[in-house]
Amino acid sequence: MRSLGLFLLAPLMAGVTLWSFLVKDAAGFQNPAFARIFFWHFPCPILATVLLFLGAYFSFRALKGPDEERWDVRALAANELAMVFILLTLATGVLFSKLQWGAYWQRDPRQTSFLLVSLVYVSYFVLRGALSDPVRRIRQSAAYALAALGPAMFLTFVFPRLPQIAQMSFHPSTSIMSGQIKGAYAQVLLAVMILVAIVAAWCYRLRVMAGLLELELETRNAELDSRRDPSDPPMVRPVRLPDPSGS
Amino acid sequence: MGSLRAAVRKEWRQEVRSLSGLAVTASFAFIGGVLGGVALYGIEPDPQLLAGLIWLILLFAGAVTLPRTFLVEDETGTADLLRLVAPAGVAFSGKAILASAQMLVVALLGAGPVLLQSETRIENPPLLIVAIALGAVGVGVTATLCGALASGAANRAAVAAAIALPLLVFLASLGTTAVLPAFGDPRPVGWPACAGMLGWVAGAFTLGPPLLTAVWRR
Repeated sequence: MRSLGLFLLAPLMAGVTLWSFLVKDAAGFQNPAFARIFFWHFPCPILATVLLFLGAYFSFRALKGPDEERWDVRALAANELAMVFILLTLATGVLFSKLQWGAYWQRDPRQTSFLLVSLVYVSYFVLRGALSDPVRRIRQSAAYALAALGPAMFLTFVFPRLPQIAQMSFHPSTSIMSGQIKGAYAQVLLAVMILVAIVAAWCYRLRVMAGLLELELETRNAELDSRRDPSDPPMVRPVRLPDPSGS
Repeated sequence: MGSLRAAVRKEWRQEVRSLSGLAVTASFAFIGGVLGGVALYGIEPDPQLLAGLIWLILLFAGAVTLPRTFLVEDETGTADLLRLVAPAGVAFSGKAILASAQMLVVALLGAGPVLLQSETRIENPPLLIVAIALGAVGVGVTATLCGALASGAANRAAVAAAIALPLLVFLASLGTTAVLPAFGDPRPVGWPACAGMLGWVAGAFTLGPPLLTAVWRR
């Protein structure tokens, strides 16, 4: 059943991409013909935010214990995937900004605040990379992920909507809620959102499976090492040497 | 309360035993302030530029010098002893209080030269004082938390600064907004931004101890 679902994902994605090019241009954009990147830009920050919340929850479970390594694998997978979607948001946003507003970087408050969110989570990976002790790495990075969630969510949801900030922003806050995106455009947007969410969930599952397998391998290697008698000579594998005569 | 007082006293004694840490912090802040003033030489800065420059100096001075409150325990080999004898919450609060007090001095040494050299008229001194004080305490407690999280890392001082700065940018943006009316900006954004910084300080002092307790649990 799962294989069938994954088999169908590629043609569905291709179909929705084609549909996104065929749908009539939406009014409300400065350059409607070049606004279709919006379909791919819009789901990315939403999925990134959901993944950051998941990452924080798994970090909390890792800190609380037990089984902190397995929760850490889940937290790392969520934060890695969130970082991918944050970078996609920035990349698609930069292209949209150039085509619609005339410059790659408008110093738009939403662009700037999301860039700051990306820097906050880059620091998470910097911290993980600097801690060689696995217990410290799990606990200290989990604590950072929890501490960083508040500022990240303020920068994502509150800061761009502050009155003095919102009036400077090029990003409309209400185009979806006030029905400016409607009809076929809204249907394509919904379809892209659902498909990208499915791809994200699939990538997350694969990443967690890989992480848990790595953990299992390390555990088994450690068990093998502990079973060996220290007085045993190290194992030597025979190697076939080339015949000097050339035969 | 008694254990908190003992923790603060221990941190103070550790700092004054070797004054190099305090000296580095003070000189960093003062040099930053003087350089900031030099950068404004000959121009009349608008409130936004002046506020941003002050917070830039305070941010870097704090992020680079304050995380050592925990990192010095790694360097002197007393980190494990601290974990054994002190509850995590008390250790964190003691270090955060001292770091905040240091940061208040840093704020004076960093912002003072910039304000004096720019000859800016201060329209609302109480707002300026409250905003910088709250921001300084916020930087102190955040840098302390980041120092605790970077403990045991390779190149820990740089890592602590690297993880503190993105969090502090958010606080600095609140601080910049808070001091704008003090420099003549007509918008009534000062006291709401101060309320935001107070929320940050309260949140950091509340979240820090349980986080560190969870990190230190055996």
